[in-house]
Amino acid sequence: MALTACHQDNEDYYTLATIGLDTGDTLSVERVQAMAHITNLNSRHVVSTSDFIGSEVNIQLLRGAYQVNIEGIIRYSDKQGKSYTRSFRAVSDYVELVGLESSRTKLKIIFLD
Amino acid sequence: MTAEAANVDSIYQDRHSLWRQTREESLRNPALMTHAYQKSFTELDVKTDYRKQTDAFCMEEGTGLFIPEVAARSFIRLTRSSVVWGQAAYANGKQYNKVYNNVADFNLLYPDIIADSLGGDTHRERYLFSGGYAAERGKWHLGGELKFRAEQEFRTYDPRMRSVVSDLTLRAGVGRVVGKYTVGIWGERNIYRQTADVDFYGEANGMGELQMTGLGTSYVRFSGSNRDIFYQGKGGTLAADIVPKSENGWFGHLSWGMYQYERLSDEYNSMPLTTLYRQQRGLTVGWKQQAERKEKAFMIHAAYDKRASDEHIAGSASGQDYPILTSLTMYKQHVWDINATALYGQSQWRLLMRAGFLNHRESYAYVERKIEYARVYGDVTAQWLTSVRKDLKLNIFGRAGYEGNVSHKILMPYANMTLGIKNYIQHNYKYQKASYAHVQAGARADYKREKWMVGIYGQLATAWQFCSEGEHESNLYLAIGIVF
Amino acid sequence: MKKNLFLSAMLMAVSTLFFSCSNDEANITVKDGAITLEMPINVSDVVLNNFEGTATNVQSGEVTTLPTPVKNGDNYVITIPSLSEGRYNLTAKGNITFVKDGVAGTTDFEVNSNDVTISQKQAAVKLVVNSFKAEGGFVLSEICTTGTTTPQNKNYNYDAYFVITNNSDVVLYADSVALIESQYQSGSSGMQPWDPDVRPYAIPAGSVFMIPGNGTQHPVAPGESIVIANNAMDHRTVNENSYDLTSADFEVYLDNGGNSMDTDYDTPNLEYIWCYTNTIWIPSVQQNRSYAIARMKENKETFLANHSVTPTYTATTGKIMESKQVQIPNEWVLDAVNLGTEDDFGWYVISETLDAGFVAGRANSKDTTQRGTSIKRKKDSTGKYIDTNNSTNDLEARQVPSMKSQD
Repeated sequence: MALTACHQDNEDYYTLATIGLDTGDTLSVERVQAMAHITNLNSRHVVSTSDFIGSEVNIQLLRGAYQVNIEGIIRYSDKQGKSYTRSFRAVSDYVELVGLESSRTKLKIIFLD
Repeated sequence: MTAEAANVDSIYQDRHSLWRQTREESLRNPALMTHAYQKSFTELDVKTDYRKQTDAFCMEEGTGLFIPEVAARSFIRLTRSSVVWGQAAYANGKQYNKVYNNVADFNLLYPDIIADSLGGDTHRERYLFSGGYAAERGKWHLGGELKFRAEQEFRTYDPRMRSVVSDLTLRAGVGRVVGKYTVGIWGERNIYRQTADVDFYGEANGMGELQMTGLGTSYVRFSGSNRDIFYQGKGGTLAADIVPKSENGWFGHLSWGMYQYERLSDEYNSMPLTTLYRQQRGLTVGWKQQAERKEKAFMIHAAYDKRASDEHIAGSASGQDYPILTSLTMYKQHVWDINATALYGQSQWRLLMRAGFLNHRESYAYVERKIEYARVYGDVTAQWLTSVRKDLKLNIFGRAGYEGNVSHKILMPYANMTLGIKNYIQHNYKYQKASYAHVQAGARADYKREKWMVGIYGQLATAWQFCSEGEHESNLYLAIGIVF
Repeated sequence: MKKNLFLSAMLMAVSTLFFSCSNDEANITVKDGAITLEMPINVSDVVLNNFEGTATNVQSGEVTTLPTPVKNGDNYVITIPSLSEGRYNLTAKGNITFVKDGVAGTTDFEVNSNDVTISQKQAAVKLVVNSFKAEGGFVLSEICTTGTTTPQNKNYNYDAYFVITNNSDVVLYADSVALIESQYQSGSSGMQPWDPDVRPYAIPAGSVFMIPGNGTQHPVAPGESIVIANNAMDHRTVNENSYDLTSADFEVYLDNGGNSMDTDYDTPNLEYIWCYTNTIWIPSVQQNRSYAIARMKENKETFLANHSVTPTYTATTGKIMESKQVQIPNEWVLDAVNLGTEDDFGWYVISETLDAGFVAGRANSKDTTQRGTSIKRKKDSTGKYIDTNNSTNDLEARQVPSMKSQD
């Protein structure tokens, strides 16, 4: 008599997500001042963070697929050392953050000026 | 009372006495059915069940039902050591004011259901067939049983839900006499299917359907226009019983059942949305003694029912297929029910007392939601079985009980909830944490003249439940039939 | 024995009562929680006004009104005396005034942060105010200098006008924004080896007229425009093919103390800073001079004293040629548009770092079909003006002038 196999609850709920801004190789990021709004595609629950360290932000999330919207100001210097402060946006409609302990993703930035 | 009348009385008692509660669990093993009843019988009846609540105690189940049924039930002794039994029934009725529930078999599939806030009345139609065979060979008992249920539930106005169920169970058991006891083991396998869809005929009425995932949450991404789902279920139970060969001695029952029900979306190419896992464990230990005119029994029963719903996290569609990235057990429900029952009978009277404790805990992982409540309960049932005359027997019973809430807790992210969902959760919670008093009374009369081949019977019962929130529920049960 | 067992069991059945209280977990209170309202790092002199903020406890739904923030360095801090530990949805809205690139601005803002943990371990959280774009700023959205033709087929050149638009999402003040015409013309004949060649760091300007004001007298809402007319009159009274410019916000008036032959109409005048001519100013009908707008950072006297170098070169004849001009530092420039003739674009009279392309007005030097048209900046799908600092892409010539009557 074949019975349903015992079900183990899947309780690995969270991942430490590192969301980075892809500024290419030529820019050296000094500071990012931005709000990141991260929307879980399945539940539409939104979490927000502005704790950027360099060009990355870390946040603990429920494992899943997300839409990420980051808008703010980036201060960077180019190869010649000249400093710029510019508005930017980095958006992705679909990002997988399902790593068991940690996940990473990088978003391309678009300058708004 | 003549010996003949006494004999007839004992057959009547055998079929209708509260004492049968000490054997009910073991008789789920088809192998142990060879001694289920003293005498063969067949009953054909028409019955109806009516319930009305002044306010829905559970929004998903609505405010009441009216379900007439035609049924036939038979237990036939083929030889001294073999029996067959069977049942066929057809029911066609209505359920009223069901909201946030557009599936059949809500209690089986909760929380993984499709729902909306409009709801309404539904029609229910059910076909039921079951049959079994058991035989004894020396010390061994063997038996098998098959049950099939086909049901449809539908609504004739928007939102037009339609659910079609097919539910097949195969059960096989074995038993062996060991000393003064019979030890039995049985197992069953279940296959379950349900298609559920919701349509809107009025253009202005179109609204999204919610794929519920527990405690007011829903799978938002695939809610809305995704209105066609189906369930694939499977599972089984393993159980063991020990029963005294006579009606005297210790008895015990242990069972473990595991079932799963996968909810898939028709609109998204049979993509699995959720899988519900149910685990049911039961343990009963008791002792009984039956002498010529007196009987007593005591049993302790503990049951644990766990539901866990896995949400399947969908990735990005490639063509029409959504890959599943991972599954997370977001919803859990644990229910413990422990009770003790004492039964005392003398001659035509029986008295049954039960006291117990129920603990119910539900949770949703993120964003955290919880509903918990616990109740203590107790009830007393009295039964009088008598022969008024040779041709007229009566079974009269009454019951009174109380379920008192002893603890309750709710944790909800109210800031993230829509008003409709908040009201729905708070409505159900109001009744989950309430206390209830209930009374029940009924009578069955069986009439058969000596020269008749067939007897007739009629049964009427009423039950009332009073809630500490001020609302109440009334029930009426009526049946007439023939028995031979 | 069995009877005793039975009775005691019955008693037990009756007395199985479990009591516990309905548990409300004790709420931990966070004392002096702090929410930092971080101001945008690309603006300065920020002042916060009209603040309204809430913290909504996700579990209880309880809404706490946030007290007025207090300035702390460049940012503002909201101190909450006591708040239950938990997750919160934070909202903040208000108004800030600021200065960006020398231009004063003001904007309303609204920011939110969802599912933020406030606890004893994490009592300080942050909200970033940067959900607006102060970039974009003022742009030259229309340059109409081609003149018109009378019904008698005569040239009429007095009806030039410029449109400056606030292309950002914030209110900007137009005070001290100047309209500049380049000193040089972009055809090959205008290309000379001037020394010094100031273009890498300044615009060699032949005309500079500035919007007056004390800094906040001329607010321009996002998407709104200022029209600067050369002569703010109804030109249709003398040329029915021309425009009615009486609704212009400002006009050019050569207020140079006597030599001017200009007419001072009722419309407020731009402040006259510098012009190569003292009599009448006619912007480039041939569309071969470049135009710019800049935020003047010095008053007229100081500016003229500091930015009036006269470049020279030696002609083939041996004569020393001079260009009396003023220079507008490139850092002051808000927007610049190079114009030129399609088949004769010789050089960038305004630095390519300010405008990497040019708008071809005329096809050639004989072309007069551009009369009665204007150069307009294109818009993107969001309705914003495109400004990639490349006029080849950003503007288009031969458009219907916006001031042309539609009837």
